[in-house]
Amino acid sequence: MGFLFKKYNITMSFFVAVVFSGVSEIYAETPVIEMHGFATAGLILGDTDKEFISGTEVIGESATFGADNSVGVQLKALINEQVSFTTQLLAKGTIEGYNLEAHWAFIDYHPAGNLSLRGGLLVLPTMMVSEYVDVGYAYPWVRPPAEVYSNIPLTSYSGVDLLYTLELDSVSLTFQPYIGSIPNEHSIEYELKVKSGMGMNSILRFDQGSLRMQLMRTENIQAGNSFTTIELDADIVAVGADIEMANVLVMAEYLKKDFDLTGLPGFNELSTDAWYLTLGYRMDKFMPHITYATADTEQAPLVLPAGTPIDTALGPIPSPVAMMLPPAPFSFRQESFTLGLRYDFLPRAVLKMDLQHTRPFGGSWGLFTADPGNSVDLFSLAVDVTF
Amino acid sequence: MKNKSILIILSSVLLSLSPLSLIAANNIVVVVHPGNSIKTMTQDEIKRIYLGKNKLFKNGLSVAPVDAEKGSLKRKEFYKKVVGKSPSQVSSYWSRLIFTGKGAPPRVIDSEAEILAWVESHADSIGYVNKDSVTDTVKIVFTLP
Repeated sequence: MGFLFKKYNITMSFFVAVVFSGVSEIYAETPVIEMHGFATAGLILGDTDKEFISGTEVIGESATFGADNSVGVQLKALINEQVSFTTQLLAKGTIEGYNLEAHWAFIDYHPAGNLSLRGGLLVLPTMMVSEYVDVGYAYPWVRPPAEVYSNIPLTSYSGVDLLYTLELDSVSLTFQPYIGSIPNEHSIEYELKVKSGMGMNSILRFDQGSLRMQLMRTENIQAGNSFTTIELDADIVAVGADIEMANVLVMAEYLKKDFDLTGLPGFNELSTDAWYLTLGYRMDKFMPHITYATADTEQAPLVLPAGTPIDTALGPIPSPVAMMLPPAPFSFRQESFTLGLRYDFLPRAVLKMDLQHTRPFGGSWGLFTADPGNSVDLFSLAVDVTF
Repeated sequence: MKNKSILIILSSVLLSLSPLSLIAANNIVVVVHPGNSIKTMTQDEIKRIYLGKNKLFKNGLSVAPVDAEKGSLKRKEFYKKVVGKSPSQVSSYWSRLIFTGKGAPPRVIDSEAEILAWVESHADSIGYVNKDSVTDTVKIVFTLP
């Protein structure tokens, strides 16, 4: 076969060389528009019909087909050698139906190969896969561990970032400082506004993978729904590792967030630690993997001062004494074990399945929006493509 | 049609059993523009360039790699031997960069002759081709192991 190919190539070479003898002129111009896209079709089955928070959306088994469905189309216009414009439109299935939004829309000025200044609508690099969290093709699970990825339900922001890569001998170090605001975003059934936020994402890339650290400070986040509006400042630290040696894949992330809240009486601090560890083993087109993920929230006991109105059958009555309430069911304490399989059945298409056992603890409902009981088993299936 | 595919399967089985299977790999060389001052490159340097990790040649010249046709044997062989990744690993890797606006994969040029013509006419280019089709219009800087 090798000989056949060689012959074919040589014949083709002559043919092409003759036909395209002016080839340098033909290719002198760079393509003006590049298009790329991705899509996911998903299915969830489980022993609960309770909805849960995953990433930036509320999804649930009740959505069955559609919870993970998404289509993204990215257009990049090369204006000249140093300036390009990129936009990514994303249609995503949630519990409330589909929403279509511009996910990214930015101008990129890159005066040198290792330096880029971008401005416009960008996506926060909160965690390791946050910037491509909707591109299921790019990671092993059906969806990233919710214990970590649901903690910061912010995605796109309006602002600027800088990407600078320092190339050392066998490693490279990328710094990505960013600053911006979020005028309005609908996320996890809240309307969110962030007045200002800034951060620094640093990535050390080496042969076998990468290590990253992200520091973020956001001020004056307003989160409101039809019942209440709270304001908070947040400090976030996230570290992560993504390493592939021989056939073994190791991914791990740790996130710590500290919230300073106002708007909820007696409740002003919230601190969450969350992490996961994923181990995978690549066997040609198959990659089985296991993940343990957990999130734990420390919160000051909720103390309602004397005089706080309490709802009773007869209407609100001022409480005669101060009361201390147990941790809220919304304290996001849960752990999960996931057994997954990724199958690259075509070069640009994968089939993924995850079997997930989730256990809320400490009186919390975990990431569920209603009491899910002791534990929940979910089976998720997704087909991801990129084009 | 059926006979042809049986023939291909048979011959690839036979080739994989014989020392002849080495021929395909030995035939691939990495080439740059003849005016590039680089004389030789290491596998590691080439790998980093093809993964978009290095944007410059060792001599400081900016670099623009070109890829062979998707699904071609030559491309599979190159990525396996030089980059150490399967085609699906490579496209998964690039999807993370493309969809975050952080990088673009090498330009794909379908035929060998076009790759050679491209490298010949672009000072910042690097490509991989079969050794037999190389003439002195490009410079060989690496031969696949």
